[in-house]
Amino acid sequence: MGTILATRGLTKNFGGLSAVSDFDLSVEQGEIRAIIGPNGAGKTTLFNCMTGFYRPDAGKVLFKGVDITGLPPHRISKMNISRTFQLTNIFLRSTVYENIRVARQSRMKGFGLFSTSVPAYEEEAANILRKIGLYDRKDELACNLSHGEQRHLEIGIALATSPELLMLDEPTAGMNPTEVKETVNTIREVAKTLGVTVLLIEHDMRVVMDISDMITVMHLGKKIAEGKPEEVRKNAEVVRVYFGG
Amino acid sequence: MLEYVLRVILPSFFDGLILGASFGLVALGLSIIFGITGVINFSHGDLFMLGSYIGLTLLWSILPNFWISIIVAALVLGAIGIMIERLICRPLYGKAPLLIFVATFGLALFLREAAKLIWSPNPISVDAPLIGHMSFGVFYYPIYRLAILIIFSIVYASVWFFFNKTKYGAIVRAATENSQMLACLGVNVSRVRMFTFSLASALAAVGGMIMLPIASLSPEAGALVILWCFYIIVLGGMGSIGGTVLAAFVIGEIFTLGSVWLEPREMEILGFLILITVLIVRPRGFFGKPLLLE
Amino acid sequence: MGEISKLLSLPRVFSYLVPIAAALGVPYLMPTYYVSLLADAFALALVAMGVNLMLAYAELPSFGHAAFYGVAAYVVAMAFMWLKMPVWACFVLAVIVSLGLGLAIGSFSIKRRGIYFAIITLVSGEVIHRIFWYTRAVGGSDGMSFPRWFELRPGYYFVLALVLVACLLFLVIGSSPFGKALRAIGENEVRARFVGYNVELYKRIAFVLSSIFPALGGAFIAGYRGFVNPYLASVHISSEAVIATLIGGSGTLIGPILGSIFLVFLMDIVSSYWVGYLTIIGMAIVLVILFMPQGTIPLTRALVSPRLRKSKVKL
Repeated sequence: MGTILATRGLTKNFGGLSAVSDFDLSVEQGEIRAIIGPNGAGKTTLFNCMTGFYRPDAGKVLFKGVDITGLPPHRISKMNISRTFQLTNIFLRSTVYENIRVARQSRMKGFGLFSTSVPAYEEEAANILRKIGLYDRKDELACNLSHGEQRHLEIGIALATSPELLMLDEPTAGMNPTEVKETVNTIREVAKTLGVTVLLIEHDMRVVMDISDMITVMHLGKKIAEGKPEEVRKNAEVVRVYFGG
Repeated sequence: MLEYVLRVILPSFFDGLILGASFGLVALGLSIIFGITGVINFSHGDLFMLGSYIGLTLLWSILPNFWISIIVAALVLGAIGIMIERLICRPLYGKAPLLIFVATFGLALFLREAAKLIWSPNPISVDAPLIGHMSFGVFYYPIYRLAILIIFSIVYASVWFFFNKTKYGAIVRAATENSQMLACLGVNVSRVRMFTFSLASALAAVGGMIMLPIASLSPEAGALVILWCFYIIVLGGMGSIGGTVLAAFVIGEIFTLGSVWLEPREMEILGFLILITVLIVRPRGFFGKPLLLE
Repeated sequence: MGEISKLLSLPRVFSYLVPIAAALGVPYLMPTYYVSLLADAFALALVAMGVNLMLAYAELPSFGHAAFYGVAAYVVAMAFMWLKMPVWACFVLAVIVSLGLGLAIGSFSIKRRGIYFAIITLVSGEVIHRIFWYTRAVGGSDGMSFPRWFELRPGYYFVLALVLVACLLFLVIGSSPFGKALRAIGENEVRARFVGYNVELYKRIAFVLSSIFPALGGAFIAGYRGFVNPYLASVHISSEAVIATLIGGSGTLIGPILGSIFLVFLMDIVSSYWVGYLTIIGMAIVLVILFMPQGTIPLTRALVSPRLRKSKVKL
């Protein structure tokens, strides 16, 4: 077990606003780490800096000791880092099956101009669909799924590329309690059975307390607390930031 | 050396300013329309052409002088702009931009061919309302063109003043950034759009009329102008008004100064090379919004 | 090739054979004037197919695809007249040069999407057009003439064969993993990036591939007419290709072909009645967009073959 993901002094400014400020993070392999903080704390910006969506203004991002700062998203994905987005980002006009299959296909060597689709991918796509519970909806167009199902599908897409690190941005947003429970189980199972490290941004505190091994708290771009769930829960600064007063 | 500059380069430089200013007005209008409605009006060049023809026709029939014709043409085109916005653009807002592009292309085709029928396909030349030249040593330059430089300065200054110093101008500028928010603030966005289209069309007409005595007019002028405008937009950056105007002047100068030494074919190639270079080195253009992952 | 085999099932094959048979029979059924017109339409259809590949899959509308059409035509003329190359070699050379041009233009156009891409490709196409216009060595605005390669009827069959080959190529590209990835990119570029696709590279390759189709058309039209001029690379032809694709319905295989036939024949018929016919065409374009933005093919589809709608490769 070692540090799989680390940031050092990560900074991102927009105009005069400092969205992420001198941020240090260190996530162990196999961990489930939650990033929490009030709205506008910079959590998604942090994700965007780590996954190549933004180029940070300062600082480094290290994955398994390798500097990945500023690499384009497709290179980062190829290093087996997957992410989901705050606003569900899937292929709406394709079927559920095709969503997963095309994600899996990205690992194919070459461009596949004159080759056929690899049957192994189709098998694997089916497996993932079963794991996220959408196998029986596989021929449905993604736009016809419920919101919760779409977010599940996005997790499936993220899993399709066999990630070592899974970054989930508010995976349970907009879900009903049953769906939340399913998502939590899926995340836990993926982390424990597949050994995937999970980094998630989450607002639902019950989910956070339930599932996380460690929590990092962000506020106005800075880290204000970090530790096991019980410690963080009692941290006065965290309480103040969330509830004021 | 100084003699060469005064005799050859300075007049070309001024011509470049005139060309840049003229196309700049059209490109400016195009840019503003795009900023507020998201529509690229393929027919904007033909509005330039139409404004010229209408102004000219009025001048030859009922209007007393050239300058009044410019104003009247601007007003007429302003009205036409409103019609176009209401009849063609409004039903298409929110639909795929490509469709609106093609629709305005159809309109451009219609206007161009209609102009060929109503007037003639042959080029027309018009005498300048101010005759005579001014000379300063070897520097020899038509008075009309000097007058135009002054007029364009006034026009551009007015436009700048409108956008930066008036309340309605601020509203229009805000609409190019975020029209939804503006609607929430109680602004009648639909009216802003109409006004914008109208203003842009009027400016195109002004640009067209002023250029009449300098270049011959034909129905094909619109196609030429819109091409220049596209070139300007690519160079200046889509959605940036300042970039558009700057690019217009830069292109105007490159063209006129380049024509002193280069043949048309070489100009074309030079133009293309500049285009490619800018797009590779700075894909966003002079002042455009940054691309993803830049 | 599972997709291909699905498309070769019996009822599908029948639905292709009918139009192909009709096309084969045209020279025996119609006057020579219309045969020649149909050949022109097929040449335009090839340009439209190139446009369609970029538009339907990658959501990139190219308004400069006639650049490849024109360049291929001029390459053919120059290779045939000056280098005395045999016909087949001229064709191959034309395609190769077009691919090169596709690489060049694609390298900077691909960085932008949507209308901006349309404008950049339009400007690029027009630059090519004007370079031909001002270059005396290739005839300037008058263009160049040379002995025709085909008589009317063999020429018609040749372009028909080209169109069929192009259809096959389009199908192969579209149903391949590459095609599927391209469609995903067109659908949701951000998601495609974050799943590991090098979006720029895919778009570039697609653009280069899409230049093959108009190149075939341009090489043909040069040999068919025995004449090339700058107009072949102009925005008029590029726009006709886009409009034909939209009328016929982008996202389908035969859409561009039907749209081209419709457009070419419409323009020919209307032009014989009135010299001002283009005003009508212009108005018609506006009206079609306003009232039928999906193009006319959904109508014909619903009437003729509803079962084709389910195909993933969208015939």
